[in-house]
This record gives sequence, structure tokens and C-alpha cells, in this order.
Amino acid sequence: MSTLLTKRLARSLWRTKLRLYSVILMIVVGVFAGISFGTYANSTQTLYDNIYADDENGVNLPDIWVENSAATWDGTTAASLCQTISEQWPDVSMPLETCEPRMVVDGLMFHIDEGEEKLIPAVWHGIDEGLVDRVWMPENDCCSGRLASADDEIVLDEHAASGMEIGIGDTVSIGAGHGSMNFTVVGIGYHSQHLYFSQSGSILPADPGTFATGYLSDTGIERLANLSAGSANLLLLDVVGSPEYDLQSTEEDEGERLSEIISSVKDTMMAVDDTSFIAYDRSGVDSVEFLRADAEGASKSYPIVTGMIAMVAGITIFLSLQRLIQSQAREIAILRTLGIPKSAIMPGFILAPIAIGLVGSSIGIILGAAFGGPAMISMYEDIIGIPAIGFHTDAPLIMQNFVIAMGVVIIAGIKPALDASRMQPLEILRGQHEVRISSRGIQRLTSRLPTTVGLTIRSSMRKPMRLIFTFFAVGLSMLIFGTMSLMMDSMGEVFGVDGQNWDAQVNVPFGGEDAVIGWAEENGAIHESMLVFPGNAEGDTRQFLAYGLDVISTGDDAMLPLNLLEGSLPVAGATTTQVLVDEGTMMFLEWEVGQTQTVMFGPFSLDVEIAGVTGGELSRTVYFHRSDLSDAIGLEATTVLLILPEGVELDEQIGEMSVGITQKQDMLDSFDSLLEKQQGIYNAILGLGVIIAIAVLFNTLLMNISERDSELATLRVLGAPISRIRSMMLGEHLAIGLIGGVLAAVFTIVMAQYMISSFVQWAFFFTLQPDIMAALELILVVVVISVMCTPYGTWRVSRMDLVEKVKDLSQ
Amino acid sequence: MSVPLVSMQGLERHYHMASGTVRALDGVDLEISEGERVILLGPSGSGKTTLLNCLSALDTPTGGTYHFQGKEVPKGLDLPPKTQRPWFIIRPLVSLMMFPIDYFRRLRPAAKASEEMTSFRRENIGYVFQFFNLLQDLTVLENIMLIQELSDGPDEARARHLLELVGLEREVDRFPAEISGGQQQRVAIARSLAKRPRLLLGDELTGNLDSKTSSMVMEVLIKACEAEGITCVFVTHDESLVDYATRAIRLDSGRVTSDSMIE
Repeated sequence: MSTLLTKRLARSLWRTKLRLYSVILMIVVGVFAGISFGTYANSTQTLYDNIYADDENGVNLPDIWVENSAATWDGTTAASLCQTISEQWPDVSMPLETCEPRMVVDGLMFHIDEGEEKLIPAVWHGIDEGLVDRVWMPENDCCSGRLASADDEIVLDEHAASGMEIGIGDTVSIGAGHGSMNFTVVGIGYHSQHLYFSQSGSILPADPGTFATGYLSDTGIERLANLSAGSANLLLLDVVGSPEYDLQSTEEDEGERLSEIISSVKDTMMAVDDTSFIAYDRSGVDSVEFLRADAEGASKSYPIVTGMIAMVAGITIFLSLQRLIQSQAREIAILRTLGIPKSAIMPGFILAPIAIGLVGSSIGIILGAAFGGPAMISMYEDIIGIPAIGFHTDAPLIMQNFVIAMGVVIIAGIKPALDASRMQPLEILRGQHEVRISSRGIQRLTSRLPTTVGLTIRSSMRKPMRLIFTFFAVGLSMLIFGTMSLMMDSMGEVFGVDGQNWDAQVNVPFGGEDAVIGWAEENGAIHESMLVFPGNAEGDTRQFLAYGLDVISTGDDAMLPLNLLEGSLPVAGATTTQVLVDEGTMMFLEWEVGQTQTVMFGPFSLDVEIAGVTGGELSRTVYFHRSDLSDAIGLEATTVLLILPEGVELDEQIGEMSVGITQKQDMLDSFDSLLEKQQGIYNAILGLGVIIAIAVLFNTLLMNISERDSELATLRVLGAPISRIRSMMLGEHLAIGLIGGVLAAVFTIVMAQYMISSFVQWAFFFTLQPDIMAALELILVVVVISVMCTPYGTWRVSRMDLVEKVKDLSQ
Repeated sequence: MSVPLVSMQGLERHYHMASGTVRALDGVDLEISEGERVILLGPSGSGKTTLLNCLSALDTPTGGTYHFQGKEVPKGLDLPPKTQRPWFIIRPLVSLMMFPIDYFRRLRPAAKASEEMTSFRRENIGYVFQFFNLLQDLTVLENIMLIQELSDGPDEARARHLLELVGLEREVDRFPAEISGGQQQRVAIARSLAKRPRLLLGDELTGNLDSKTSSMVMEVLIKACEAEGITCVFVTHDESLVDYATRAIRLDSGRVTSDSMIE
């Protein structure tokens, strides 16, 4: 390999610095994004595994949860159930290690904030032995103290403690439908069910001071909820080791053996107890499943994002090298004529992308490890609120991103290098390689247009492959921008509660709705009872929530207006109970409107006819008329929805008669807070997409302009005013921008929907609605970027040294 | 006495190089009347092309005067030198910040002067290149109409008439790559006449053609110029083209060494 030839190539590249910088920038961005997202994905997965581990530092996450949905087992029954389950355990190779009864109740915290008492929805856990599902108190600034042992002690969740500025030694006033009681805070920690800190049924992380969870002793919870000793509504079963479990995001059952055990446990339970219960593995615990899905999503997406950006960089490198070879064709031909072998020409063109890739990757690695990874972790801590213990960017991750980036740039460099070595000197020196005219078809199509317009169109179409590659690369870069934009638009619809008419949802103990209704009528509040109960389809272990509503409607007459996508509203009291099913459930269960299906509520089954499909529910939901659902499960109501008149606020009285109150304003605040927290990363990703699109479009349009130097110089020598040349360029850039923008928008919408559909799962389902405004926004961004090249092009033409150009034209 | 079409007095074009000053034109006095066909001859580096560039207002003389039809021809501005700025990252940043000042101090006046020179060329000058420089994406007819469109608006009838004048009425819909070099040069001649220039300039316009084709092209050119009443100035190394001129001017080292009328 000739050093002089390589040096000559390096100098040629350096002459097109702007294009060189844009290519390097894209590689930097690709590696940076890969390392940032990768750090997040790897670290979160490691963190969760450490937290859930069956060792002294972990919480020893149970393998099976058996939940009593409708009542409470007394101490004797709970102990007896554990005993029976243990005795009839079906798999000797996977023995039961622990069966621990637990009491978990919804309730309220009565918190004084700035002199005003606030009713904060809460969940209280009563922990007896604490052998499984322990409170996690790592050695970190976040957590301190000890577990609760006396009946007036509580360990408060760190999310709640920091949100309400409560410390060890403070007294908190809490309730669970039986008045309020004072407890002393003896510890601050985390719990597996609330690592992702959101109210039950909500996917939004709770805003500080809007939700609380606490971990009491068994005697503490019995005192709080007025229960007999040993009462429980949850059995935690821990199997020796860490068995595989069924992932909700996949078709196959990864935890077949555990599923068989769950099935056997259900049979055992049904044989000895007639209460309604559900049994599930860790995929049925929202917080656990959400964090797993988050880590899995990040793991899946970061190689795609890195690969996508690297591919855009690869296309740009490919186009730039092609252009470089074209501009050097005559030199290469002369060298070949002088007897320089192909093998001496090719290495330089292979070396160029390697050098570019090395520079870009090195900068990307430094920026990703020093800033990107830490920034992602900081955002994670801010949103999830778990201390980022053991987070780091490791060598395999760096290597993986480096290999992806280098692989793509080397592949991009091979074709131009081969082209350079295969050039026919005679053809080049005769100038035949430069003769490239637009097709007759395009000529015919544009023959009736003004000549300047025709010229613009034909010149743009001269290199169709370059245009196609450019549009593809712009499409990819806009995919990053567009997906984020579309998702943020859709988030408002999915997470928002703007369209709902209730002010507060008051959860009541079984049979406790009358007291709340009495309070509502006393205070002039409009009320509606609602029954919410977990269920599942026959033969399927995945849970949905059955909502029993008094008013089922798509209009404002309902407290919870529904978005009916297909079918009709159900009729109450039909021979076969009619229901509405959300589109996610319909898709996962492959149900269709008009079908009759069997649903299970614990041991009870019910045939239902699917009257219609609703949209906009993140969780899996089936809507019943309350009377129909009530008949099936034997409960009247679990919640009272309230619309409060002007000036009426929820007070301590309603707090003491409820087991949890959700206020709409808190949910709106949580949503705003989430958006605010995500704004930085949202803007960063939007910026990333735009920067890449700018680099890609500028690269191609600058090549187009520089290729036409001689044409434009001829026009200038013949007296073409700069204003006309500007108009021609503007027209060309506008057209390219419009076509590119429309293609990018279509590509983005199709790809974004495909990506979302591959990420959604039973617990979190949503669809992206192609919004015309979002599509127009995408098109506008591409058009603006494209048109931004016009001033540069005009400037380049206006500063042409025509005397020099005339010399070139005469050579 | 009628005003000459071109009048140059003591015209100079000096280039200041590191190795010293190059006097490409060094005091040229020249008058050309309407209807003349002038041929500029001389060895390489004698200043022929520089004189042609000054005639077409592509280049600006560094001394002397140049009047066209009695009016001074617009000149480009010698840009004041850029302020020296530190290298590497700081330079582009400082350049970016200084751009508004640069724009008003240097770029805008220079661009304005450049546009005045372009207008002068558009209104008065036709130009034929050695390598034709037709636009490959446009047909023969469209190449001519493009120049019309960029000046006074398209006139297809005239474009067709000019092609007829150069004998290419059957090639109107062909692309440049589909016709011969001689035909391409005839299209370039038709193109240069499209906006009715007062002065047609040709730089080695037969330099890329064989002698037979050269003769044909020159005959076509003379015929067209006579038909349109256009004055011509050609630069060439080819002494045989003197036969097509009415006047031959020889240059050497930037000076006119002989100027003779041809019978």
C-alpha cells in the first residue's frame, strides 16, 4: 500500500471537511446513544436481579402469590392453607421452601402539609416472619433504621418518606377504613411491590406526596385494620432456588414447571377453601413486571437504535466515498494508466472508513461513558426513584457498540473501494463516466414545464440511487424523532384522565359503600358506585380487571366515558351477560365481537358475550354493567366515584370510612410531573433525530450542488442572475424536502406502529394513532432542513471564482 | 464619429503572487467597432484569455479603463483581506460571530458588484466555450430556451430559428450526449446568440474539433453573427481561423504586439 496514495486520499477527504464532520458526527451519535441506552438496560437488569435475589442482600422475591380478592383468611385458615399446600406440593425436584401469610390493605395517610390535612391514598403491608419479600434497606443514603416489630411502628417507603419529608422518629397518622391511628417511623426502605411507585391501577409514577406505602408488623396491621390475630389475604410461596417463570412478553411459556405448580396450588386451594382467590407468578405483580419490561425494552431497543444510527452513518459514508471517487476519477484513471495496480488503489478507500469509524467511535465511547450513561441513570433515579447502586458502563457494552459501528462503516466502504479499483482508465479519460442524463420518461414528463423547473427536476433525479438512499436515511433518522413525537402525543391520550368526569375515587371496604354514599349526599356530591374485581379468561392465567359501572356510555353522562371502537354498548341483564372488552385484551386473547367467552373470578366462572371493543386502556380491562358483575361475584361495590360540588373537599370523616382515595387532580399532577421529568430526554432524542437528518440531507444536497459546479458556472458566465439560481435551488430543495418529508412521515408511522406493536404486552398495551398534525410536523421538519441548504448553495455559487471556473470549463 | 463598441485604454491585469507580480495584461489599448470579427492570437501565457475575461466582465482589470458602447463596464470589488483569526476550534466560532460584520463590510458590496457584472454579461455578451458546456439534462432546444428563460423569458420560435441558422433543426429533441462534438458546438453558438448579445466571445471554440468540423463550425458562426449583426472576438492558437476574421490582434507578455485588418 502506497503511503503517498493514502496521504493524497486523506488530503482529499480533508478538503470536504463539512461532509467529513457530518459522517463522524453520526458515528459519534450512534455509539453515544448505544452506550447510553445500553448502560441503562444492563444496569437496570442487574439492579433488579440483585434486589430480588434470594440472599441476605436481596429481598427474596416469592415465586408464587396466592391472593384472596374478596375477603380475609383468619389466622387459622391461613396457617392451614399453607400446611395443605406444603403437604400437597406437586414437584419434589422444585420443593417449597416457605409459605408465608401476609396482610396487605388499602388505606390512607392523613398528612399535614403546610398546615392543611391531606388524604393520601396508601397501601399498608403487615409483615410477620419476613422470610420472603422483605423490605429492601440497602447500605445507601436512601435508607436507614430497622424493621417494625411493635404494633405502633412502621417502616415507610423511601418514595413516600422523601416526598413528604418524613424521617425516622416522626409520627404518622394512617387509616384502613377503621379510623386513624398514629405510628412511629422506625425505618425507611423499599418493597418489591412498590419499587415502581404508582397507585394500584395506574401506570404513572406517583407525584411526591400523592401516594404512600408502609410496612408494619403483623400486630400493627391487625390493630390498624381491626383484624384478628394471624389474618391474611396473601400467601407468599417461595420455591428453593429461582425457577423460570412465564414472561408476558413472549408467546411460549418459559416457566412451564412453575405454571404446573401454580395450577396444582389452585386445585389444592379450591378443594379446601371456597373464597375467591387468584394465583400468579412474578409476572402478575405490576411493579415487578413493569420494571422487568422496562429493562427488557431498553435491552431490545438499544442495539436497534445503535444499528439504525450506524446504518444512517453507513449510508452517508457510502455516498460520500462514492462522490469522492467520482471527483477523483480522473486522478485514479491517470494513476492506473501510469501502471499503479488495483491493489494499491483499493486499500486507501478501505482505510478511509476505518479511520473515520475509529475517530467517531472513540469520541462516541468517551461521551457515552462519561456523560450519556450517567445522564440516563440520573433520569432513571429521577423518574423511578430507586438509588442507582452498581450502575456502570462495562467493557462488553463498549465493545458491542464499537463492533456494530465499525462493522457498518466497513461494509459501507467496501463497495466504493471496489468501484475505485475497477475503474476503466480509458472510459474515464474519454469522459464517458460523466455522461449521465435523465431518462426520456422524465424528459417527457417535464417537457411542458418551464426549462428551469425541468432542469431542476432532471438534475435531482440524475442519481436516483443516491436520492433513494438519502430518503431512506432521512426516514431512519426521522423515525427516532417521529416515534418520540408520536409517543408523546399518544401518551396524553393513554395516561391522561382529562376526559373523565369524576373528581375522586373512594375505595371502600366490602359493604362500606353506603357510608360514603351517605357522606356524598350530605355534602351535595354526585356519586356512582363501581365494582372492580380481578379476573381472567378461562384457560389463561393473565389477569384483567373487571369494571362494573352503573352508567356505561361514550358521552359526558358517564363518570368514566368510554371510547367505543367497535360494536355496541352492552345491555344490562341480558340472558348472556354482555360486556365491553379493551382492544389489548381482544388482541392478546384473539377474541372477536359477538363471541361468547368464559371468564373466571377465582373459582367462579361466567359466560359473557362481547358486545364491543374499547380503546385507550393501558391495562387489560373488561366493562360490565355493575348489576351483572355483582350477580356473578356476590359483591356490591368496591369504589364510589364522586363529583364534588364547588367548595366541597374530601375530609377526615370520608378518609376514615375509606380504604384509599384517588383524586383526579393528583393523577393530572403526576402526569404533568412525568412529562416534565421526561422533557429533557424527549428534547434530547428529538434533537438527535433532527441533527442526524440535517447531516444526511446536507451531505446529499451539498454533493448535488458541488457536482453541478460546472453547470452553475456555465449559467453564471452566460449571465444567469443569482436570484434565478437561488429560485432553482429553492425549488429543488423544496421538492426534495417535500418528497423526503412525506416518505419519512409514512416510514415513521409504519415503523413506529410496528415497533410499538412488538413492545406491547399484556400488562401495558397501547397503540399509536397516526395523527395528521404529527405527520405534518415531520414533513415540515424535513422541508425546513432541506430548504436550509439553499442559502449555503447560493453562497457557494455567488463566491465562485468565475475566471477559475472558465479555466476549468476550457480544460 | 460613432462610439466604438469596445474601448480599452491602458488596461492592466496584474496578479500579485508570492513569487512576484504577474502582468497578464500590461497596458492594452484597444477599440473594437460594431460588426468586426476580431481574432486574438498569441503564445500561451500571452494574456489572450485574460483579455477575453476582462472583455466579458468575468475578471476586473487592475488598471486602465474599459468602456462598452461608451459606458464604463462594472467592476468587481477587491475584497479587503480577512482579519487573521486563531486556528482550530476558535476560528470557525469567531468567523461565525463576525459574519454579520463581514457580510456588510465585505460580502454584500462584493456580491452587489458581482451581480452588476453578471447583468452586463447577460445584456451584452455571448460566450462559446471550448468544451461546449451544454447542460446534459436538457435537450438541444431546451439548452437554448434556458438562457432565454434566465434573461427575457422563453421564445421558442427564436430558439428554433437559431437552430435552423446553425443547421440543427432536426436535432431539437436530442440530448447533447446524443449528438457529435461539432453539433454540440453549433448548439453552443445558437445558445450564445439566444439573447441577442452585442458581443460574442469564443475561447478556443474549435480547439476540441478536427479541422473539417472546425471549418464548418466557424462558417456557421460567421453566418449567424452576420445574420444577427453581432460583433465577435475569438481567442485561438489556430492561425488558420484568421480567414474567418476581419481583424487579427497579436498579444505577447500582456501587450498588443500587432493589430491588423484582414481583407
